[in-house]
Amino acid sequence: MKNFLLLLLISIIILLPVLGQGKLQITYMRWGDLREIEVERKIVDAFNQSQNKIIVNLESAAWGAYWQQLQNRIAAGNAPDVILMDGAYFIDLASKGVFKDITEWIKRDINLKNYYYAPEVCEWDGKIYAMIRDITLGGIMFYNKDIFDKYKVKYPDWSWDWNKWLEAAKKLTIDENNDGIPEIWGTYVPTWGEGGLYPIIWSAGGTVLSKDKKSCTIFSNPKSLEGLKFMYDLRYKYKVCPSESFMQGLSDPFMTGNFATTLGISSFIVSDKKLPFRWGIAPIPSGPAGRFMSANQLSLAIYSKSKYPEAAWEFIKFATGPKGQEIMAKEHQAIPALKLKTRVYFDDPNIKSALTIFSLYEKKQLKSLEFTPSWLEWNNMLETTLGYAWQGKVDIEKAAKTAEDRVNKILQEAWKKLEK
Amino acid sequence: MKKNKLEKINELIVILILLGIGILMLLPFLWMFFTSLKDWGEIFKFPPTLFPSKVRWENYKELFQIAPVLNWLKNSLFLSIISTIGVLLSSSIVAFSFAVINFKGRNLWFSILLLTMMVPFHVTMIPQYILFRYLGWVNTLKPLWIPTFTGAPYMIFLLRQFYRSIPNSYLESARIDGASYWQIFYRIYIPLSLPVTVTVALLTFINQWNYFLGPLIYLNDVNKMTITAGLSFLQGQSFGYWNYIMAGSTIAVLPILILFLLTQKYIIEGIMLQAGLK
Amino acid sequence: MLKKSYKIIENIIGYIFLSPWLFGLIFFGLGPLIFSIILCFAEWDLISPPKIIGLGNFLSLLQDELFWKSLRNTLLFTLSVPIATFISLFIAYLMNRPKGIFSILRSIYFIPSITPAVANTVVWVWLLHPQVGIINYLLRKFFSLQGPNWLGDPNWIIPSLIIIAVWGAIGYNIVLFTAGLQAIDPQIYEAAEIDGANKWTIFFKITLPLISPTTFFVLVTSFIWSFQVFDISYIATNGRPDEHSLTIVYYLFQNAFQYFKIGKASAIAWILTLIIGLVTYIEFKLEKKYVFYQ
Repeated sequence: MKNFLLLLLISIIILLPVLGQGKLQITYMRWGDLREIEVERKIVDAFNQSQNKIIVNLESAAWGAYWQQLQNRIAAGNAPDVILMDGAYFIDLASKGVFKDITEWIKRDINLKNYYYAPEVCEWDGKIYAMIRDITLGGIMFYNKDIFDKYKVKYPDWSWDWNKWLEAAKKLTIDENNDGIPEIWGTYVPTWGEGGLYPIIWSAGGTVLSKDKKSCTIFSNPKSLEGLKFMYDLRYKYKVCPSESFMQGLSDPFMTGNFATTLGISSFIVSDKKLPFRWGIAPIPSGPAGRFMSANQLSLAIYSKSKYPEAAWEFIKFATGPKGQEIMAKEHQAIPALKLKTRVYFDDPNIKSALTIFSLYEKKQLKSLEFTPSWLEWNNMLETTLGYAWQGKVDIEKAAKTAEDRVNKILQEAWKKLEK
Repeated sequence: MKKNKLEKINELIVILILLGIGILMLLPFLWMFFTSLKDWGEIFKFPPTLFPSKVRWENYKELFQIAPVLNWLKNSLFLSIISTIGVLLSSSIVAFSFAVINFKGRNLWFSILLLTMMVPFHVTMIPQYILFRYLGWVNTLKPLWIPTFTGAPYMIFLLRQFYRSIPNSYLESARIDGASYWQIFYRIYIPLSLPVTVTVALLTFINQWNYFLGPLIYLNDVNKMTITAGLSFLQGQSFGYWNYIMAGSTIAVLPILILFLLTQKYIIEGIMLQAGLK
Repeated sequence: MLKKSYKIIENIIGYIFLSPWLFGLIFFGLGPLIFSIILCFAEWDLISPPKIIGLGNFLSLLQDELFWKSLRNTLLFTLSVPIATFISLFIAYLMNRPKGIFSILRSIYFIPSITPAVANTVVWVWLLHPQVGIINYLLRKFFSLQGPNWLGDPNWIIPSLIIIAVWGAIGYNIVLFTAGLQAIDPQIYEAAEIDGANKWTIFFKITLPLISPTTFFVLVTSFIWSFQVFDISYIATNGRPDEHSLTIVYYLFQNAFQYFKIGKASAIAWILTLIIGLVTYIEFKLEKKYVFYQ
């Protein structure tokens, strides 16, 4: 009896540290406004309550400071375990070894076919470094129903091509007091990447970069140039879209209520909710080569120096799994990349029609932006150089040629650096 | 008699012109305040309007519902007050040495002081972050206020200028009387430079209040933010909640404005009193 | 013997008074400063140790069009400093009277310094809008002039930024100048008036010299600030400055945090520091000639 009790006592003493062991704590950082962060907190809380081994601490940064804070933390060695990633930075960070290789875990635990999966924001050099999380559509047409009704023009729909678009825009550019400045504009096409520039170039049949992504083709590919010309003509030939000089200071023109149609991204759906006029969504009008829109996706990565990568992976699986994605969709924080849950986001009469746009994904008509190393650097250069044309200072061919040369210089340097 | 009338007209014209420019100065504040009262749709109207067609005080109520504004204000108050104390204490002492004490290497150190103001902070940001991480100060406001107790170069420079403009005669007669440097500092220079000292306090308070990049880099908890940094969280990747941002900005500006009005009065009255005592 | 020990004591006391700042410099400042100097000659990807590449960053900057353009933009922009300083001094002088209205005016003028930069810039973008802005409207109405495209025309963007910067600095500078003006002994003015001096003589021969320490301070610190201007050009161009509005610190920021070229960014920073240092050095040389301490 005595021996047994002694054995029991010793066992308890040995097991005590294990029994009393606290839960594993990992950190997850994301950017956002207060609303987005609140929804993320719900996802994190749901994960923490769904099991009792891991606690995830949510850390948040304002969008304007996220990348600076992240880079500071990488340099200081205290980067968060789970990191929210975006195409503009993913390749540069992945190629520097900031993320853990999760190829095997994905193969083991995830069926990527269930997702709208963009390798550009998850893979590098044949390995997978991040798991896809959500999707933002770009090039969506927002249209002002009140304006269309007032001037008795039919709403945009799947039959719209560039001709129909131009026709409606001409009818809906109205200058009532004849002072040379229309009060209502027929359309606005953003000059920045995902909102307008890339989808238009694609719809014209061109691409921004060559297939191997080593050179820029916005001038040398005549179809790309055609897309640029269309954007230019809208402003200066047909005058249905204001010049960028006029646009200064206007972030999302659709909200002014002065535009019959604009192209924009799906995130605007949230901000447009409380507008004082009726509006709807339609796919981008079909260009000479068809209908192409952008899909900008975010992913979740694990810090390569994380002490608890397996725990981080558990959280990522949850956040990109049905439970996490449902919370995301229901609260309209982001459109889920998990196909099963995507429709939950569109459960709203204003935007229900947009669900059909996703059918374009399989047909490869919803494309990722053409991400490469140093993407931010050459894209900045591309947009500011083309900007001179949008402001009406140079004609579009000259701007495109200059932009292509400058982008090529940056691209070549970027690829050369990686080869070393 | 004629001179007096001419002078009065002259003064009136000056006041009118200054008032005209004053309206231009007020415009952003007015725009900010009126935007905070606007309905969402009206904020984005183009051409922009100044006055809201319908005043919506609910923007303020909603701001308090979605954001921890009181926490933010509390943090701002703490940071600004303690920074002001830190900067005042350290900067006046250091400025005194640069202005009055003739020690070896003074010019060299002063040049280095100026040098630290000339280096753009973006490049020292990363190594400083590493240092503060090593000290365990990240995710706290410590990196922002503890260094204030070692002096702020701008304020040291400002105070040095003023100390140097105090007539040497005071210094010389005090030294003849056998006073120590500390006594000279405490009994002569501080009282004589009250307007500047108050100015330094005011400017430091305002600078820290408005400094939002520091908290955004070092903190990763929304509740620990100061008011100006916290408002950045109302600006997302694609759009910003401008009505709430403006409401929050108006709330953030009011304490500073009141502080400025109060100290302004003191600066003037302080001088009047001083001039009489001299 | 007495003189020598007196000197030593003076040195010791000097360093005692200096110690708070010295401590801060050594503890918080020195490490980051030296590190950033080393980075000028290196490439760093943040995760592995920096790789020394000698003068590579500087050589690449020599051929970097954007670097030279942003440097040019910044230099032109610093013209705002003398303009702002002297306008502020003049207005501060005008407002330096005991009447209550001037106190109110001073407060109003200070407001741009406390409203967020975003509010200031958005309002100016609106005022300077080529078609719907008030400035061009007034030019059309009263002078029959077609105002330029202030923020859109490459020739006018820097002048526009200068206007915005001067406008923003006036109230702040007035606070400093007022403190300085108030510290001038009124007996000096009384004596001058008794001697029969007129207003302009008093201003140029008495006020200007006596306020020169403050003027010097405002000029030196304003130059240092204007060389490092960042947010005005950023906000006025909606986050997209082009080669006509890009300032050197913004270019530095892009290289450090968007293009992962922190070595290049450090090189830019230190070149800028040397330029500012040179300008400040010249100002201090001029101090001996023009600044008057009693």
